[in-house]
Amino acid sequence: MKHKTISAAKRGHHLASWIPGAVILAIVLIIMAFVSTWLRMHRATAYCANSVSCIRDLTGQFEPGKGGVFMGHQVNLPASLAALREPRRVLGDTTASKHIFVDLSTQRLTAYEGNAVVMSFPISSGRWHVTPTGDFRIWIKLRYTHMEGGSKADDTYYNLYNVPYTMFFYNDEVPKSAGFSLHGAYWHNNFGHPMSHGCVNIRPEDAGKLFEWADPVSSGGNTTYPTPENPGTLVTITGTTPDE
Amino acid sequence: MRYTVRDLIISAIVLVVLVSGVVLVRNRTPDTAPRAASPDTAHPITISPQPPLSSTMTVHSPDGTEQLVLKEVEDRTGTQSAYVLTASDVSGANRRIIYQSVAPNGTNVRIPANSWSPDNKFVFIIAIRNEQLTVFVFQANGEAFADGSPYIDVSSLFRDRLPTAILRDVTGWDDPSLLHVMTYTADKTLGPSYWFDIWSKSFIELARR
Repeated sequence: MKHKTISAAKRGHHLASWIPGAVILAIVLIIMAFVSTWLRMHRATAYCANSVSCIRDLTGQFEPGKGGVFMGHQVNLPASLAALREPRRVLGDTTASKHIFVDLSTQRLTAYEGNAVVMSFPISSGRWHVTPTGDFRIWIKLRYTHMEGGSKADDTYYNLYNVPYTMFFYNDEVPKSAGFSLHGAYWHNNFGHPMSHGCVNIRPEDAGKLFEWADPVSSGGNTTYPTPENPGTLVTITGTTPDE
Repeated sequence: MRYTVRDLIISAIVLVVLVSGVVLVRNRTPDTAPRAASPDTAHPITISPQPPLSSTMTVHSPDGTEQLVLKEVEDRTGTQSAYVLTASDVSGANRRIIYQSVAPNGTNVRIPANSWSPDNKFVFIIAIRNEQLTVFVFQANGEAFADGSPYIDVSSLFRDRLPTAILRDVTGWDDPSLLHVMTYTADKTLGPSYWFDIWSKSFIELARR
């Protein structure tokens, strides 16, 4: 009996000696999990395609007299883009579902209504930062916006005003704050080849047609948000940007 | 049965009328059967020459306001083609001739999709013959460059400045004055890309990503 009592006490003492270690280990694991989750979330939300301006300018307004800088060179907005025409479509002008596909491998965008191709043209995706892949929804359309980012240290800095026909997209993994969009690009003409910091660059002429066609339908004004009755068009991005 | 003289006369008249009718009809019917060409024909048959083959290529500026048109017309001998490069508003107004030339058959002259500089001030064309690229840059207003040259011959400058590299392609404009140039190495593997600066006429090697 005494032997049993001593043995139980010994076991209790032995167990007690393990408790602080287990607690510490559990705490460390919890902290690691927390930090890992926080880093993942932080990385997803902290990166913005336009690292300086991000999505600050959501007014959609034209800024007269402002062009910009791209890769250390001054660039001017073509006069033809200084006064974009008002969208002419009205809600409910088509019943077929709309879908925008971007193939990074071929650097091409194709827009569908149902099974019919509405338009198809070359684009420029991420050269200095990857363009995300997946299914996205357009969450805002802006007639103009300001984009600034890149790095002066490696000559990738840009500061571009009046970026025309911008349509920001997002999903559960790429939040709105990440600032990825389809937009017109007036500072280069090398479409069909990667040229962006993660967005999808489009020739202004093509961007205008896509902007007018895509949902949400704009009723005029510089900014259009989707509503349950007027949702943003689905955008699917697949493939891998070629290493050129 | 006896035939009278009167019967014979009527039969003769009927016979003459029939024969005359047949001869008349034959002479009025057009002869559809082919005839052999006669060497001593007063008006020899001439074969109209085929109209010369021609084609037209059009590329819009990125903002959709201007167009560049390349018209190719093969000459009657079929050994060479004439090329005329013009620029104008998309409506066709304000048309100006950018360049005219003749090239032997087997030369593929084209306007690349990204021909226009983003500010619509310059255009470039590519000609390929025997797998060798020729690239010319022009001012889109049709005027010569400040040094009097009608164009910048990017391909000649490339061979001068980068003699060990092979010009693979010029894909477009990375900014209003920088052409994006892709290369092969001497052993035909992919080489680095360059910018060609049209103002300094220099090639700037681009870092690999």
